[in-house]
Amino acid sequence: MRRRVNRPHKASHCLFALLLFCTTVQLRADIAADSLRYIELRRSVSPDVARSILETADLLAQQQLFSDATEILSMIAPQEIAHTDISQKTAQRWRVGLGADYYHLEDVDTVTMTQEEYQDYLRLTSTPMSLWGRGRCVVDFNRRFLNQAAPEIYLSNNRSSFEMPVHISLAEERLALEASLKAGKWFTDDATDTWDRIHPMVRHASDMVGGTIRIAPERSSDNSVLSYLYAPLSVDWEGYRDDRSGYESYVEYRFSPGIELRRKGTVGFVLRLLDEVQYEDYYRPQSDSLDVIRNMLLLECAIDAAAWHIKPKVEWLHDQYPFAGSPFRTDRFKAALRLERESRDLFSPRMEMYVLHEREAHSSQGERFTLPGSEVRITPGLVVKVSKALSLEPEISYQYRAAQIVNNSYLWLAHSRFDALMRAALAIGPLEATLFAGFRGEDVTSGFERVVGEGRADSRSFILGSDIAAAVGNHTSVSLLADYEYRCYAPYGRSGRLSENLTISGNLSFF
Amino acid sequence: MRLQGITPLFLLSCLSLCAGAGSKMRSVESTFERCESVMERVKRDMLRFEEEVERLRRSFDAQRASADDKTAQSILKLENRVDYLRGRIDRTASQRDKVRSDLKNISGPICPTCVSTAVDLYCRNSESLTREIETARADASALHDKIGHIGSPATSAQPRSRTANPDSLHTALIEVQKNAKPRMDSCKNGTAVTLWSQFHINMKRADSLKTAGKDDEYVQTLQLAQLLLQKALNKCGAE
Repeated sequence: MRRRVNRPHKASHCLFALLLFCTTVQLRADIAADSLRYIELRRSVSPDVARSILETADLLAQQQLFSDATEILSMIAPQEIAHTDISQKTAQRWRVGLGADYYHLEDVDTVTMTQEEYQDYLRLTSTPMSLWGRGRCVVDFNRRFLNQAAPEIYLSNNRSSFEMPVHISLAEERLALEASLKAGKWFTDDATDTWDRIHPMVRHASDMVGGTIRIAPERSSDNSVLSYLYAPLSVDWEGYRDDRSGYESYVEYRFSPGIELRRKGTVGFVLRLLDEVQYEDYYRPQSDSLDVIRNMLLLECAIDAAAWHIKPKVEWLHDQYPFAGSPFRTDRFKAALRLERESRDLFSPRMEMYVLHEREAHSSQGERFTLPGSEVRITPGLVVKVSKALSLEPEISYQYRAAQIVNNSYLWLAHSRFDALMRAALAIGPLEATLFAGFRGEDVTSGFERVVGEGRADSRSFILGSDIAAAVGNHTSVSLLADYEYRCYAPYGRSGRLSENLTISGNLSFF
Repeated sequence: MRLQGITPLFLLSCLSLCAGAGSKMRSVESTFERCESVMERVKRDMLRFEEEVERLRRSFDAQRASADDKTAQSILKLENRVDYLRGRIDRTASQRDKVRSDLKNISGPICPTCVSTAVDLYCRNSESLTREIETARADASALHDKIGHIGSPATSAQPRSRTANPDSLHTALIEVQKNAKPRMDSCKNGTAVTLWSQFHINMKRADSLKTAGKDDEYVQTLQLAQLLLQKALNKCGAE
């Protein structure tokens, strides 16, 4: 059996060596930056401030705990800080992320491929590695009207983008205005293109400029129940050099009022009601049929009582395509319920239930028809607290998707799916890691097997993954996310297809 | 002669094969369109998820003092997940671009089964993205319930105990101190030990300030003790 799969271990090793080096350098820089910040703040503190605060902060600073000392100075007694005034000063915060993502996505059987198919598969996955960097500087102006500017730049091996949002507050902070400019430039044809074809100066069809204006009357309340009222209205524009599928120029108008009620106490609750009305206008003639009016209505609630956390949620999404025939309308109704018990006991149960019904209305050759589909999902689980740092979370999940074939079309593939998963969550100081392993079985409903082809649909998979995040010092974090899936297709055995999917993403953030 | 007999059969087979291939391609195209609409929804969900994480970050920054290290770490994890999902969406969108151009050139150099496998891959990715974003949004929503909006009582309550009765805060701190003692005594974290001892020193100071009738300083010192206790417990991984 020949397997022709690329495994670039060298690239992964280089990536981790780079992350380790940057982390070590950053540790030194963190301490220096924290101490400078502390000294600056300590100088501006009024001598009238309580002696206990100053003495404690100084003692912590002597022991190199600058971050804690700064926090004590700036948060315990903000009104005591000399009026020269730190609040009038412009403050800057940076967040810089550097990352590498590796993709090995098959979901196709490389073993049984012809040479031609295999060459095409390689073409599709020709650049498995993406490198990227994102820099964001949040500047707090602390002026009466001008609150914040947060320019962000993103650069990867295939594209770059820039965004410059500015936050302004008006009418005694009851009206928030956000204006943003954005631009994007592609270096390669797409994200899977080869690096030797980078041509940054060429006029790429998907190069983009745009802007957003968002105005939000906001009202937070001291009332013990009404927590928040808001009604943001936004206009978002993206214009591409040339429209092509997936990259069409549009103007989006969005109005999303909401209300939140919140009560603390023995039985605490949060109740949220949101509505979002949106119109996307694809203004170039060739993209007119994409115009869409959307409405989303959401009612969710979170109740905390006797160590139980209960969260019911209902949602209705409606899309109307005024200039399109197929589909011209979609309705989606969702209901979900999450139950969770948070306690110090050894076992904490939890359960999630999810119901979805969707209807998609089509019009073809003068005939109108609707494609219906429903989904039910139930996920019971358990948290076993093995120790203070380690918990195990066994979980099973069953999903059933039903659909109808109408005019040889269907909304989704009707199938049932079973997942059994074991998660291990580890939290040791600044390290948080979740590792999981599991089994997944998918069986396509009999009427749909002919649509996807004999022996192509049912599958059994073995899955593995991790989500690891570690804080290094006070201003650095390292994160590693990985997902692996090994899938066998029916008929199981020698003649069945096999496929492997692997995604690894590592990043280093400085903030 | 034989050739004449075979030709009609051969032509018929060719025609049926072509018709089969045509029908197969229509099925591939319709599957692709279906997955495109899934992907469109994925992008919208992702946009909402990004907005939620951005709101969480701003709320957290506005109430940094009353938030704990665990919350900071949870937000950081969500931000990392945003970066991860953005990369996956980019990659999947590029697969879509390639499939779309292949479907246009299907009669040219691209083989039909190649397009079919590419569509399978695209659909699989868009489905798994739907699930992952849904899970990530549930995590963001749970954190939102915990820390609230900017300016909402959950956040503007900071400094939380300023308006509360200082004596009840004192009693509450003594209670927490008693419960946390065994855990803190066994704690090996140097920073936590320092913060824990500073907590004790400031509780004693608070008692002296109260006896001396310095009410303002008494309240401030109690608040300082509260923060020190919270930080010490966080460093030792306690709730």
